[in-house]
Amino acid sequence: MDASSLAIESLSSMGEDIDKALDKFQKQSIQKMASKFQILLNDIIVISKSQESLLEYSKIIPRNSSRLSELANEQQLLQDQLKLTMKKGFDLSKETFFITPEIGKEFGLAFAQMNSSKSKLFERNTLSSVQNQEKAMNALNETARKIIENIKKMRESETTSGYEEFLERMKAISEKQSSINGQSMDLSLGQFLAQKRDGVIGSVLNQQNGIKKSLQQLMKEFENNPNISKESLNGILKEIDEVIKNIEQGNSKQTIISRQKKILSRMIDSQKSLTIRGEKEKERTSITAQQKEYDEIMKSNTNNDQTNLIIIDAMNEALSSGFSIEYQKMIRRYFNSMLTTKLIIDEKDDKSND
Amino acid sequence: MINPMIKPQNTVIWIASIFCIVLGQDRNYNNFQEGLSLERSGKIEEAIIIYKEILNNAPDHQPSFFQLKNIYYNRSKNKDGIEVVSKWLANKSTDLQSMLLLSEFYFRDSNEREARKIWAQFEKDHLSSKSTYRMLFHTYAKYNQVKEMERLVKISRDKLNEPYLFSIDLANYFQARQTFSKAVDEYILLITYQKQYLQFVTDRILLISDDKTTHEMIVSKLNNFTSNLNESRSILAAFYFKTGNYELSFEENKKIVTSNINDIKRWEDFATNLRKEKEYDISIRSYHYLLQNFNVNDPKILGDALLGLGFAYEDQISENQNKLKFTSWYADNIFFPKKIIGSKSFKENSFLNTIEHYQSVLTLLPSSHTTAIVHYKLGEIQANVLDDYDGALFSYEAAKKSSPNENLKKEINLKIGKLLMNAGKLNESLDYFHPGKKYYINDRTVNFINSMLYQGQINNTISFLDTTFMKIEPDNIYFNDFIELKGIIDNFYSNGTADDKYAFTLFFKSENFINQNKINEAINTLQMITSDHESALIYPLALKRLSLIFLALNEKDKAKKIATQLIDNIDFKDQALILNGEIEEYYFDNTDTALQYYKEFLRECEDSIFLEPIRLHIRQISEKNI
Repeated sequence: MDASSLAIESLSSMGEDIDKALDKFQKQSIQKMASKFQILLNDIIVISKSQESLLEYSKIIPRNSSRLSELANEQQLLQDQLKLTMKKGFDLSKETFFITPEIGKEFGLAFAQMNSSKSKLFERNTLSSVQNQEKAMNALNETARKIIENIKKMRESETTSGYEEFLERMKAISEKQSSINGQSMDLSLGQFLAQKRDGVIGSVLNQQNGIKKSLQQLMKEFENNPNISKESLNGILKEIDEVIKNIEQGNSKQTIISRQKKILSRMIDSQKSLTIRGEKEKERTSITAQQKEYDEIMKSNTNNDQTNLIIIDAMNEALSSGFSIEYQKMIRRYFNSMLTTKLIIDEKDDKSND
Repeated sequence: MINPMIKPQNTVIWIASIFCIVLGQDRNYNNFQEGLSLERSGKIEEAIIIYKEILNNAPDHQPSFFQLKNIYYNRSKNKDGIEVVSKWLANKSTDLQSMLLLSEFYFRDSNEREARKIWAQFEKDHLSSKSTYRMLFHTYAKYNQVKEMERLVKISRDKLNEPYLFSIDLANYFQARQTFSKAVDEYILLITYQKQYLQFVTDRILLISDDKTTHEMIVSKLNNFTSNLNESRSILAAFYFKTGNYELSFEENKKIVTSNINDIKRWEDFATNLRKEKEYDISIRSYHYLLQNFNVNDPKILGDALLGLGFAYEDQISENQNKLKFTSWYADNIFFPKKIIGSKSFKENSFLNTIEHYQSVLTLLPSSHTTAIVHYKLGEIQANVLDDYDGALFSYEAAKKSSPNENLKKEINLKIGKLLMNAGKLNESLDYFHPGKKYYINDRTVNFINSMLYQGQINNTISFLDTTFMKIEPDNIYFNDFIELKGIIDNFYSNGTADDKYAFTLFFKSENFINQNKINEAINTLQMITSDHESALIYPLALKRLSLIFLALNEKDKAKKIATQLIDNIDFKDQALILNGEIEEYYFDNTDTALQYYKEFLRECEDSIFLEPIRLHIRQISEKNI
C-alpha cells in the first residue's frame, strides 16, 4: 500500500472518528438540554399538584372555616413559585426555540388565573376562586404537555436549539430562490425561443409564488418567536410580491432580476443574523476560551500521531462549545483542512529530507 | 255619520285640536329623542335646553322631567333641581318620590330647614303603608339621619305591628358604618321573629366577626338570647367554629335541640366539617355523639356517618405519623395510593364495635339501593381503614346483591378489583383491569398500570403510558399524575443501564409490598437497592422512601441517618436538606439545627421550586422564636 492510500485510509478513519465524536457530542448536548427541560417540567408538576390540592380543599372548605384566610396566602405562595419557574423557562428560551411562545402563553394564563383566584380568596369567595384555580391547573398541565412534546421533537430533530430547523428551511428557500434567479437571468439574456419563453415565465411565476407560500408557512410556524426578525422576513415577502406583480405585468426583466437578487441577498442576511444571534446566546453559557499554543505543536513535528490527536482534541473541544450545526460543520472543515495541510507539509518535509 | 248636534265649525275645531295634540306629541317625542342623543354624546347643556323646552310646552312630560332631574341630581345642580321639581309638584302633589327628591335637593343645597319641613309633612300626611315608610327610611339613611331613622323604625314597628320591620335595612346600615353592636342587635331581632333567615344572619354575623374586636360583643349578645332562642345557639356554635374554638362549638351544638332529622343533619355536617378542618379528635367525638344520641334511620346518613368516622380515625393516625409539612410521598398521586404504614391503634377501640353493631343491623334491613350504599361504605371502611380485605369483599358482594344502581355497581366492581391488588394477586388484577382496545382513562386504567408496575412489567407500562398519553387531556383529573409517573420512568429507568432497570423494578416491588401492608418486606426490598445498587438511578428515591417509612414507624434516628445520606445526591439535594430540616424540627424538636438545614438549602439550592415556601417558613420560625 502506498503512502497516499495510507493517508486516504487514515483520513477516512479519522473522519469516522470525527463523525462518532460529533454524534456523541450531539447526544450529550441533547441529553443536557432534555435534563433542563425535565427540571422545568418537574417544577410545573409540583405547582400543578399543589394547585390541585388547594383546589380540592377550596371545594370542601366549610363556609365558616377559620382556615379560609389561609387559602389566599397559599395561592400567593404558588404564584411566587410559578414566577420562579417562568423565569427558568424564560432563561431556557434564550438557549432554545423549543421553549415556544405557546408555552409562554400558557404560563401567562396560569399566572393570571392564579392572580384572580387569589383576589377572590381574599374576599372569601371560594366558589368563584375554584373556577380560576381549575383554569390555572389546566394551563399548567397544558404547559407540561407542550414541554413533553417539545422534548420529543428535540430528540427527533437531534438538535437542541431549534435554530437549526429555521436555518435549514431558510437555506432551502434561498436555494430555490437562487435557482429562479438563474432562470430569470437566462430569460433576460434571451436564452429561450419566443414560444418557450412564455412557458418559462409562467414557471418562474409559479415558483416565485411557491417560495412566497413556503416563506409564509415558515413565518407562521415561527410566529411570535422573539428571536426571528419579522421585519426582515416581511421585507422579503414584500419584495416577492413586487416581483410577482412585475412578472404578471410583464415589466422590465432587469427590474425583476434586480429585485430577485435583493430577495436572495435578504434571505442570506436573515440566516446570517440569526446564526450570529444564536451564537451570542450560546456564548453566554459557554466556557471562556483559552488560547491554545497549537502553532508550537504544529511546528515541533515530534510525533505525528500525537499531533493528529491534539488536532482532533482541539476540534472536539471546539465542537463541544455549543455552536450550531452550521458552525460545527465549518469547524470540522477547518480542522480537516489543518490535518490535510499538515499531511502535505509532512510529505513535503519527507521529500526534502530524502 | 256626524252628530247633528255638533256644528260643522266645532267639528273642524275638534279635529284640528286632536291633530295639534298628536302633532305636538310627535314633536315632543322627536325633541325628547334628540335630547337623549345629545345627552349620550355629552352635550348636556344642549339636552337641558331641549328638556326644558318640552316641559314648557307640555308640563306633564314625565320622561323629560326624569331626565332633567337626574341631570341636576347627578351634577349637583341643586338650585335648578329645586326649581324643576317644585314646578313639577305644583301639578303633581301626590308624587311622593318627587316630594322626597325635593327635600334631597334642599338638603344638598344646605337648606336643611326646608328639607326637614318636607320630611315632617311627609310623616304627617303620607305614612300609610310599608312602602311609604321605606321611602322615608331610605331618605333618612341616605343623609345619615340616624335618630330620625330609628324613630321612624320604632313608629313603623308599632303602627304596622311588625317588630322586626326594617331590621335588615338597619343592620346593613350599621354594619356598613362599622356600628357592629347595633347591627348584631338588629340581626338577633330578625332571627327572633324570622327563623328562615338563620343562614343569612349567621353569615352576616360571621362576617362582622372578621373584626376581632367584635368577638366579645358577639358572644355576649348571643349568650343573652341562648336560653330562649335555639337559633342564637346555632349562630354561637358557628361563631366558635369560625374562630377555631371547636370545643366550645361542640358544647354549644350539644345544647341545641330542634327536630330529630335536623339535628342529625346538623351533627353530620358538624362532624364532617371538623374532619375537613383536620380537627380529628373532636370530629370523631361528634360522629360518636351522632350515632349514640340520635336514631339514625336513613341508611345513607348512617353510611356517610360511619365512613366519615372511619376516615376521621384514619386521618388522625396519618397525621400523627407524618408531621412533615413540605416533604411528602407523591401526595395525591393516584399511582401511589395513600397507605397508613404501621399499626392502626383504633383496631382495638370502640370503632370496631360500632362497625360490627351496624353490620348486624344492616343484615336485618330489606335490600334496596340505600342498603347497597351502606354495605359499600362498610366495605370501604374495611378495605381502606381496617385493612380487612376479606371483610371488605364480603361487604362489597353484599352491596352488589342489594340492588345498587349502575354507577354504584361499577364502583363496587372497581373496588373488588382493587382488593386483588391489595392481596398481591397481580396476575388476576392485570386480567381484571385489562382495558379493551377502546378504553377511557379512569380508575381502571390506573389500576391496570399499577398492576404492571408492581409486577415489574416496566416496558409494557411505558408502551401503555405512551398510548394513554396521546389520549389524555390536560383537564383530566389524573393528567398531572400521569406526567409525574412518566417523569419517574423517564428519569430513573428509560435511559438507564441494566442495573438501573433492575433496581427500578425492585423499587416498584417495594411499593407493591406497601400496598399489601407488608412493610417489613418493603423495607428489605428498599434496603436491597440502597445497599446493592448504590449507583442505580433510582437509589436516591429509594433512600427518600425508606426515610419516610422509618418516620412513619417512628424510628426517627434511622430516618434521619438515611435522610442525611440523601444530601450527597445532587439532584435530590434540595429535597434532602428540607427533609433533614423537617425531621429536626418536627421529630427532634430541634429548631436551631432545622434552621441550619433550611439556611443551607437557601444558600445552595437557589433554583429550587421550594425556595419561596422555605423562605417563608424560616421567617415564621424566626418570628416565633422572637
